Amino acid sequence: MRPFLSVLGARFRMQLQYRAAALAGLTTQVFFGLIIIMIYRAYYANATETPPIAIEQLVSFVWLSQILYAMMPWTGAPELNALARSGDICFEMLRPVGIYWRWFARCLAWKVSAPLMRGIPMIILAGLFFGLGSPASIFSGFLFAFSLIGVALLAASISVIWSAVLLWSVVGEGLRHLSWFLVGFFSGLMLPLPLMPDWLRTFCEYLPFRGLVDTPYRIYIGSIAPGESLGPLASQFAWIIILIFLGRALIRLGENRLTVQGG
Amino acid sequence: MNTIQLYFKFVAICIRGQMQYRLSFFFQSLGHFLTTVSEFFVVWILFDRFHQIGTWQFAEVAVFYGLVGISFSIADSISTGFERFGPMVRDGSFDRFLLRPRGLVLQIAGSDFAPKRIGRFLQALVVFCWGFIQLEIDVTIWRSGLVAMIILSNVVLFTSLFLVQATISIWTIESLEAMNSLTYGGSQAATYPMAIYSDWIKKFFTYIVPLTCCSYFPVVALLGRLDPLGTSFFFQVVSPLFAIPFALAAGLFWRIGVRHYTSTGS
Repeated sequence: MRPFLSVLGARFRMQLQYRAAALAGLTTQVFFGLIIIMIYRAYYANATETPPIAIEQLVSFVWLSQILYAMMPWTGAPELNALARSGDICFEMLRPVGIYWRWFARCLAWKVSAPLMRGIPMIILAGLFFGLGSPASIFSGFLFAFSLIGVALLAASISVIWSAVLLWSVVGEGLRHLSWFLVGFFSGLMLPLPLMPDWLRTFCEYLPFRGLVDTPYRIYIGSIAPGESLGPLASQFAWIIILIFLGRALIRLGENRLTVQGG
Repeated sequence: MNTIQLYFKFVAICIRGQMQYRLSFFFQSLGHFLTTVSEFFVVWILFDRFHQIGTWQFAEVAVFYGLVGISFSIADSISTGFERFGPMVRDGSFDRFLLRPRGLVLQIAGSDFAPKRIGRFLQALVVFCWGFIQLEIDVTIWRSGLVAMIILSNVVLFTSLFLVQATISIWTIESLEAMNSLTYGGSQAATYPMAIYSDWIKKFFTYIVPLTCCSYFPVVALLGRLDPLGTSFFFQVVSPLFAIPFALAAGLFWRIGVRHYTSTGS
């Protein structure tokens, strides 16, 4: 726990150095959020039958996705990206703590600290001016907070996998470009699962990515009632455990066949 | 060797370099392709549920989407060097460009090229053709000319925006992410007809950045339908020309920027 907290502290201080960047990022994301909401509103204006989620819920959903955008496991932690390519990976392997948990701690710290700088001002802006509602009920809010812990752990476990595939340097770099598609589409970020056709929604529900967006956000907006949330939450945490095992196996496999590059 | 030839030579070198990692290139293009396909798939799903957006049909949106996708992928490929301009200023490698006896815009544009954008380009091309066929619009000479003009004006506009973004980083040292609202955000917004957005977005993208003039008005003329914003056919056809003053202003801004450049490197 102590080493994790110190990594987290260092990360957060690093983020604080980039206030201007955070402000710029904030502008961009508010802009994107507003555009997406206008598009949904234009669709909803023509709705002939009642859509599965109300527009107010959808607006909150969009803002949550913008606020927590940096928490999504788009790539591995940036400081781990160049390791295999530059050959610095060998220093990592010499350290007396196992690679997996050290990488996991780094990714977790990154994913926890990333949304803070731009997320907090965005909560205030979106809440005051742009229609971000409060959680559906106190109990929903509580469950949302709980599933956010799950999001951080799940995002970290997926990030480590993106870093681990880089041990196969060329193929890994390529695979990483699929991450935007896998994470963006199957999590429900690009389109909330309830708006998808049934077959696709069912398919997405079996994948781990749903726990990043669909489960927490829909608990927040009340589209998953507290009584129904046990299943999605259980699957979120089950996937965390599975992906941790998968990540460990990948790293072990990668370490054994790794050719250190550079000199 | 003239400028255009030299630029293509630079591009050829970049492509040859990236083709050394064929598998990586394949995955990159595939990732790009899947992302953009899923993006359009989302549009399809939404139309399946809601049938139309504003007064617009699916095939019409496909034409908007396709044209802006084609143009943006071209502009994005050309401008890759400008997107990496921030780091060049930070580590001082921009100094080297200043020493060489060639135009700066050419050198920076030629310093990097992203062939992986072909994934987006192909997808947008397919979507555009599908929408065009679906709407049963006759292919005539003036329509082909209009399509060429739409694509060209959008490429000019987006490339100018990337140039402005690069210029700003001469002062800010780091690249300004807020400009992404205009480049990526603009291309995202223009995938739907601009008429569906709130007034402030429409005004912003008409009077400050003339995106509506390149990717909305002329497309309405191409589709041959009535514009809900009430513009005349003549205006719709000539509006892409507004990209020219914008590009000139961006070029002027770039010159001012370069004159103010002070090296940060050691």
